[in-house]
Amino acid sequence: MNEKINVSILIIGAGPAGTAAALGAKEAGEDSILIIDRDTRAGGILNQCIHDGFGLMRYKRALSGPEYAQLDIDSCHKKNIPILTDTYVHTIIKGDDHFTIKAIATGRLYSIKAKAVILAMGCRERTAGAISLPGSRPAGIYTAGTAQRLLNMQNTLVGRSCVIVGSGDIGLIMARRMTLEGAKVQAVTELQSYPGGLDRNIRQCLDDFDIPLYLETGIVSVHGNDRVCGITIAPLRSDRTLDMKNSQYITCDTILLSVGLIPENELSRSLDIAIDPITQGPIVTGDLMTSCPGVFACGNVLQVHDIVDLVSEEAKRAGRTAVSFVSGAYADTKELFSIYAGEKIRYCVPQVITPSSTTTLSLRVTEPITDATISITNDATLIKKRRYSFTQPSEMIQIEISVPENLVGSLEVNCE
Amino acid sequence: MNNDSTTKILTCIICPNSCRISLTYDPDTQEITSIHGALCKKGKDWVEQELFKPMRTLCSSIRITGGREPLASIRTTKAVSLSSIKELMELIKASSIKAPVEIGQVVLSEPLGLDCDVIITRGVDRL
Ligand code: SF4
Repeated sequence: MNEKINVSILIIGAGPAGTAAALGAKEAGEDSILIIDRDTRAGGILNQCIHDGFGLMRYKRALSGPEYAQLDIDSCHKKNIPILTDTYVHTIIKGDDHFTIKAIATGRLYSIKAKAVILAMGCRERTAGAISLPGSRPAGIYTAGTAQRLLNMQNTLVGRSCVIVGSGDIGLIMARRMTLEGAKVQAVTELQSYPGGLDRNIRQCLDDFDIPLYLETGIVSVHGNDRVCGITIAPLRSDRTLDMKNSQYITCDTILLSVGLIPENELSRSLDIAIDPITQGPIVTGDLMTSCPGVFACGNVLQVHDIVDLVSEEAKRAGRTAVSFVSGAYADTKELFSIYAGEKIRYCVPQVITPSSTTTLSLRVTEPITDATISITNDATLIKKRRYSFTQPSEMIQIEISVPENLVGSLEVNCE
Repeated sequence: MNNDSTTKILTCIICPNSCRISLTYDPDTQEITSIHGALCKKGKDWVEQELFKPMRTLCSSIRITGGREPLASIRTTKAVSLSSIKELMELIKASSIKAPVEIGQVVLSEPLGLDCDVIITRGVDRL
């Protein structure tokens, strides 16, 4: 069956970003909104994040992932914002003054005409292939998120004895989860000299259960023919080579990988949207618009966040600016200036900005820094300066700025 | 600093400021002699508690019978002492609930005599 739909704003993804973007658009006065999600349940990745700690900023209390997600889903229902689940967006085609979106559901083909599109597809995990894990490829190697889904949604514990490679938040959360379910988590290894995940997770997920974290440690080899039987790890020397004299073999039947997340931008690429090589998300303006006018991005598809409250905030903003685009209050004659991630700054979102606007900069530093001063300057004029007693790459920093009217060249963000 | 004291650095997990609080205490008498680095009073109270009686919210799953999904997620309504978590997990693993279940529904009331309930955090519809 073919179905034609006409909307003002189409949102792809019904996770925390998609639902908050819809609510932002609704609050800005838009009534014609549709959210599409490929999963059976709205809520995105939060459905499997059953641990608590979500909503501390927004609601001042610690909710689990599903509870946090449900609040915005309920608001969407209350405000009559439709969510089409079990529906997969196949292509987006840019027309002169609208987009045509082809989507597939069981026994149905949708052709949707929209004036603006908000990308809210989230991210996926880096896999063994993406990090070239040395050794054989027996069964028993999972990404931490896959193991989380199997355990928390399908009641399947992937192993009894496990080593976690990489100290990203999902890996840390899974260390605790598997321990609580009766598995033995032997160790977490990390190549860097600092953990990839948040401090609170190191404390509550590893320290609570005496799980060792080996920093500056690499993988020598994965062992096993049919099933993983062990892993050899070794500390890194200062030249970043493996110190084999101090290598150790750990017996285990499972390896979980928690080695980072990548924004899921296949659809964005099909629209030829410019992608930032560092964030791997779209390059956006201060209004969260991508290089394709009328297409906006928010949440983990734009940049991997560590706190969902900030995803919701960003997404609401995308919803509001999409409304101002649709209502024609948007001058595309505005001149764009780039924002340059300078000294000790890994990246900065947005990447481009218009004069006399206000926006929120999201950024991360390149290494742990004590007494950090972050300054935003334009041609030696200081726009904003913020101090942090301590910051590290696992914490996203956000700074609100007012961009002056007269800009000379690019804006620079530096940390010292 | 005398030889009988221990210094620890704990990162406060109450708010995203993530203050690194350093504290010195006597391991025998459990007396704290100094606390530095907390930006607010809550952090000071937390660090004392964290050192001697850490409290945690337990989040897990519970088996569901007759539902569209085999599991619902759950949590304790309040933080409970870390030392009680193992026993609480065993109780939860031995339990199962009939679908449907809704967010907020109490599935275990004051389990093991603890000052908390266990509630559903992800609902499951009937099959
Ligand atoms: S000490 Fe206070 S300000 Fe610092 S992290 Fe804890 S609660 Fe936040």
